[in-house]
Amino acid sequence: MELEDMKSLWAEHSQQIDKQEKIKKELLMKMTKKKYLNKLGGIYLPEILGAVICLAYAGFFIFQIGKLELPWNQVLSIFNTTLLIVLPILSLYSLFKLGRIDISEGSSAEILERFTKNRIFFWKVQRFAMVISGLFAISILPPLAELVGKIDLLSSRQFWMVYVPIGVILVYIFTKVTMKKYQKALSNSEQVLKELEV
Amino acid sequence: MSQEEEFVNLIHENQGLIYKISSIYTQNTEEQQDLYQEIVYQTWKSFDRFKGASKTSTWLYRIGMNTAITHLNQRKRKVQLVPMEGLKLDIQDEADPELEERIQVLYRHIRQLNLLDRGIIFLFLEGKSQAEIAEITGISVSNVGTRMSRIKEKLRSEVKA
Repeated sequence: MELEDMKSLWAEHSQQIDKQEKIKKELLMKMTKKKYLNKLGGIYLPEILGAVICLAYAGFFIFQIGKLELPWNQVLSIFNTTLLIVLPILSLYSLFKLGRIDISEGSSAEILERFTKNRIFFWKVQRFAMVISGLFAISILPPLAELVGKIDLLSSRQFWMVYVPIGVILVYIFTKVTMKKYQKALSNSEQVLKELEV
Repeated sequence: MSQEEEFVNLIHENQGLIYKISSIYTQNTEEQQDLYQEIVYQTWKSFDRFKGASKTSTWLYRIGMNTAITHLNQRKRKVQLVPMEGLKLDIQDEADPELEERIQVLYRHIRQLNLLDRGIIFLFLEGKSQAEIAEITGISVSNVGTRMSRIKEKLRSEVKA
């Protein structure tokens, strides 16, 4: 199909669309307001909820650090508390950065470039968070064990022989699978940027 | 006339344009309707900042295409269609079936292109000049020409394949 044939076909198509019954005016505004409410709840709520849970746990740990007697568990709980504060903030920041692009300002090429760059940043944050979460999953156990059952997990053979190897294997498998997904998303985004340069 | 009335009139007059943008960037009716609603919503969000520096149609093409680019690339994107009675976005099948089929083939070919090229071919089909396409998409006029030639080649090889 040549471009000129496409153009005349498109003109016929446009005429066909113009003849169609339009959405009633009163429904248009109603639809827009409903869409606004839907967006508020749909996109950011799960992320915000996740962040609130993380921060609540961080708060819990901050108050419990003083109760820990073993110095290593104190170090681990400081590390875990820092992660519980930093990771959700970083994740939310990258998400808000994506959503903050003003589509009314800038051409399509600019928007595509800005959005793709932000998306690459977002995926990189997610990838970093994934690896750190694996460390978190293992390192949270010793301070929790001391807090809950007064157990010194770090001195226990079971922790090093069972929990750590199982944890490392699970984290490895999980990271491998998700990394593949993130890598694909990153490559797709980088491809969009390359296409823009051509 | 209130701002709300002005906005509703603008959308009402340009429903065909929004329909076509949402159709070239999506694969099925549900996604298309979701994008349609999103474009209307984004137009409303930006409406008070539109100061008439560019033509209304240029502004609307830009909002529509920019919305499509960002909306369709959202992480974990899921359709967030607002279910409303009386909301009709489908073209009814009263048209010639042969014409309908040719239009569907045309859409299929356009959807094979990357996001920016889809916008360029759409604006070309809408009768925009290379200068207008350059203004809306933000690439140079010469780049529009180069891309148009490539799109032409690509579409030709797809039709042959």
